[in-house]
Amino acid sequence: MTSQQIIAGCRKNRRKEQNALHDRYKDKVMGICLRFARSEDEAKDLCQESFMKIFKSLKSARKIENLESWIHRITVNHAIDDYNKLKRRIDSEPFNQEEQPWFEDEKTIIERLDTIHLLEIINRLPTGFRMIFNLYMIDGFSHEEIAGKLQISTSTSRSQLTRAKRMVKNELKKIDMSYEKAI
Amino acid sequence: MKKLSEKEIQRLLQSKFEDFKAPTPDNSWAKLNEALDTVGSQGAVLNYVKLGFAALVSIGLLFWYFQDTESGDLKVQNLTQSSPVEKEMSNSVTNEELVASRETESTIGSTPENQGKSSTSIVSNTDTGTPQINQNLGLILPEDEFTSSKEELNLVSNPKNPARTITKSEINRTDFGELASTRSGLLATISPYRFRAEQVPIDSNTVINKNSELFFDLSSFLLYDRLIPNQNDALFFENINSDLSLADRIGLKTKFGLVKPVSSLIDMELGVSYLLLQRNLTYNYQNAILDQVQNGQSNTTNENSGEKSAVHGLGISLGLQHKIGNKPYYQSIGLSMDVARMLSSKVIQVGDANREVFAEYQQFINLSYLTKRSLSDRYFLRIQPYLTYALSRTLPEAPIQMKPFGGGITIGLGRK
Repeated sequence: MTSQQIIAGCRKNRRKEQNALHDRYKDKVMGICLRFARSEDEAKDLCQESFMKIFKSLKSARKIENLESWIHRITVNHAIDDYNKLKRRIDSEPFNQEEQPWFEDEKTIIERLDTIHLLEIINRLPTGFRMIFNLYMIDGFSHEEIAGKLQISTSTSRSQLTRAKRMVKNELKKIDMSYEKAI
Repeated sequence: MKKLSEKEIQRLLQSKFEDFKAPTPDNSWAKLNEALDTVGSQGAVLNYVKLGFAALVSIGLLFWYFQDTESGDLKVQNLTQSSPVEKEMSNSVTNEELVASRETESTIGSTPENQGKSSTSIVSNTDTGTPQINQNLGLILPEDEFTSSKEELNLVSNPKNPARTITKSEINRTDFGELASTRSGLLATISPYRFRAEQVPIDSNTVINKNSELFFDLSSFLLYDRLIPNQNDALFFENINSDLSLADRIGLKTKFGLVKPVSSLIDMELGVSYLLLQRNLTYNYQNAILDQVQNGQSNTTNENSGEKSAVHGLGISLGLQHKIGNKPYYQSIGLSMDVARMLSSKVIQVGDANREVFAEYQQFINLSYLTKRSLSDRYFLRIQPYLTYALSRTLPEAPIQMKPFGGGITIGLGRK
């Protein structure tokens, strides 16, 4: 079944095409949801809600050239919407800290790590930091875009990314030390 | 140690996650399929809720409209009884209605015993060309004013112009006396509904009587919850997410009470209320020790809490109503406070532990608009939209406090 056939069927609310779309993209959507969710259970819920949103959005979408990237975008947007429903308490706290540069050895550790381990590190971040780290470092959003989507200031986005990076670096350092010990 | 650009690490991470896929549970499609099916049924429930709300609003508006018309008519009738001048008129009266009224009146007025007894004889008696003054209403109209009125009526009932209507502007052209005689004659003749109202004349002074009133209200309301972390613990709450369906937010309240005027503008209201609210709220949050988070440590834990209850509450209500507007019917804005004690137990779930809570108190402050519409000489309808806001909730040990806010509409019956 081609992507266009799937889209046409989903627009008519036909289960066959909806099932086909789900089968084809469920693991990809779950992978995205795991980056944004706090737990696997929450990722499952987020995944299901994302598919509901995908089916709903398909009915009103004008033209979809690349179904996979469109689904990726809808899933990320749904994760953002889900996050925006949450209450945050530290966003407004001032936080002044110098930029955290990346070093060669950190790159080496990241290269050596498989994606599951990287995901574990990201999942240890508090939700706000994780959200911004994901959106900036992996999904390629700018601070301005993040600020607009999360309804925060760009300076908050920058400061939270800095804190998130510091936490990630600490985790990478721990991994490096344990790796050296193992050697 | 060599520094790298941010873009380089970004590209590396993006390449790592570009094709990242994670296995989903085997039953994921079954669950999704079920969810897709329930969307339709939930939509149907929501439609019923919307329909109910629309019906309630429509009934309220309908009462409003007809009561407003009645009040307008009565103002004119009062006007014929030397009440203050009112210029509000209903929009038009058709020629057909006029003819019908004339025929009716000819029949009634033709017998000598009916002369002077009919309350509608002003318009009907065209034989003599003089008005039959309604004894019941006590109309006192100068002869020339009535003649002017009669000329206008003749114009309306001209057979060459059968579909002609008297418009509001035309009636407004006439002076006070014409208006009074035309209106009182026509309205009393045409409508039994208005005739009934005429028998029970009301105006703003009769609705707002000087005596106490009893009332019984039924109210439907919609509440949302503010979820506020307990500020007295040292916990950091990253986020709080609640889940409550629309149907679970709707509640019902009945109130029985007494209204006592304290001045010409202020009424005091005291009532006893009973409220019923279904509540099945789950909320989850991520918490950690505040100091650790501020120091950049990420030892947050996920918690799930919830609350399941059918809340029955008994409360007292005290409020003040301030009369507003210059309409013939009663209008006021009011501020009141409800203190309710929950009668049923509530199950609070914190993590894996369940705990029952009894005797919770809730205090609500309400801002309302109230209007009263007369149903008879003793009874009246109360329509009262309002906003409500919870001041406090006494669950000191709970990690998260809930403070509901929302609004509702009350429809009630009052007795003078």
